[in-house]
Amino acid sequence: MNRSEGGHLLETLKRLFMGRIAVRRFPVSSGRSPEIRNISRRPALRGGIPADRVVISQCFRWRNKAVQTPRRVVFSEKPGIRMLSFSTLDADVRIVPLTGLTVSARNGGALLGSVPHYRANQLAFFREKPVFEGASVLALFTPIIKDGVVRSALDKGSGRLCVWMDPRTKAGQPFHLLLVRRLSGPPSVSWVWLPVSRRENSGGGSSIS
Amino acid sequence: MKSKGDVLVAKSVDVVLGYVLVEEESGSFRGAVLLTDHRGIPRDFRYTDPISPSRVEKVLYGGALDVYLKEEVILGSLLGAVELRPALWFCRDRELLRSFRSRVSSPVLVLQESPHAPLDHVGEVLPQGEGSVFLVQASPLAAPLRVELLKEDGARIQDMASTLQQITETMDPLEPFSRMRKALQIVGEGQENA
Repeated sequence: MNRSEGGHLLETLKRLFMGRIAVRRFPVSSGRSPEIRNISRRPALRGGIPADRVVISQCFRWRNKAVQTPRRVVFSEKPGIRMLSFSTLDADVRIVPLTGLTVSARNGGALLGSVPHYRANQLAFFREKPVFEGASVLALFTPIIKDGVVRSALDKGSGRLCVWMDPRTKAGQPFHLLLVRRLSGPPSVSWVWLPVSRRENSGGGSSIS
Repeated sequence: MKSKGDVLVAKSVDVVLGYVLVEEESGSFRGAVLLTDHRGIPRDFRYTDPISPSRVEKVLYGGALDVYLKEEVILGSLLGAVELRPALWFCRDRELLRSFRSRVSSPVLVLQESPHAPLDHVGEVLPQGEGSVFLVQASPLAAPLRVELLKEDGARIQDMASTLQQITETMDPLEPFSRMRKALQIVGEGQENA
């Protein structure tokens, strides 16, 4: 049995056997009166504009114009200038050579002498296909200065004719060079030179017969 | 050209044609200039060794590297080396056109093949676009040439077409570019083997 249960039992026994109850006094002290405080209701007024913040002093002037907020100039005073010592930041200056971007022109006359002139097959551009009796034209290379030719070879890979020319030649007459296959007898091909005619180069079409 | 009967004979006129080729391959720049007569016979040929800019040079020159090397270094060196003065210059690179033209007194043409069918008659000039590009039917036995030039030279296109028509009687005006490329290839192979 705990203390509160014991007290309650004692009160019950007193009321049953002694016919009386305990009357207790509850003193009312003045300390219980409500405390009245004088509260000032005057509000404190504070500025609603946030304080201007300095980000970096280099913003003081921008192209001779004052840096401004919508309300006022941010910097009204000259920023403090501090000096840093660079005495410990010495660096070696190295030279990057840019002289490699120059070039000289070499004389390649001898080199070019070993390179042939190229002629493509122009047969497709003949409006009237050249006709030979007993033969058909396989290819036509033009124009070629016949009397200046040192040697020639057909590049079977590209179909182009390679022609090595004499660089000192004075010849000037242009020719067509035709590759012709004979239809009769054993299969064979041959080369045929034909002078370029005036009519061809005046645009009147071309024919070889 | 003058005709002897019905056959063409080359004139003895000593016309000089200039061809310039400047190209970049695998980060290496090189170029060549070839001067020929009206038959394509070489009169002068100059070429440059390949230039390969370093990584630092690429960074320092930035986007100007390509233009600087092609125009200032290579084209300038080539044109400074030749002694003859061609009546007509040809190149393949249209980006060189303005710089090229400012260095020479004769017209410069960007000369290329065209996929067009032949025009109606030889000598015909067909403007393309805004007037600085033309199709020129120079030869009866070839597709028309695609010719581009500066607008300032556009008024002279008929004269140039006439010159092109004359030289196609004895040569293919595009062919020297093939020879130049082959010659540069030989130079490159020689340097690799060295």
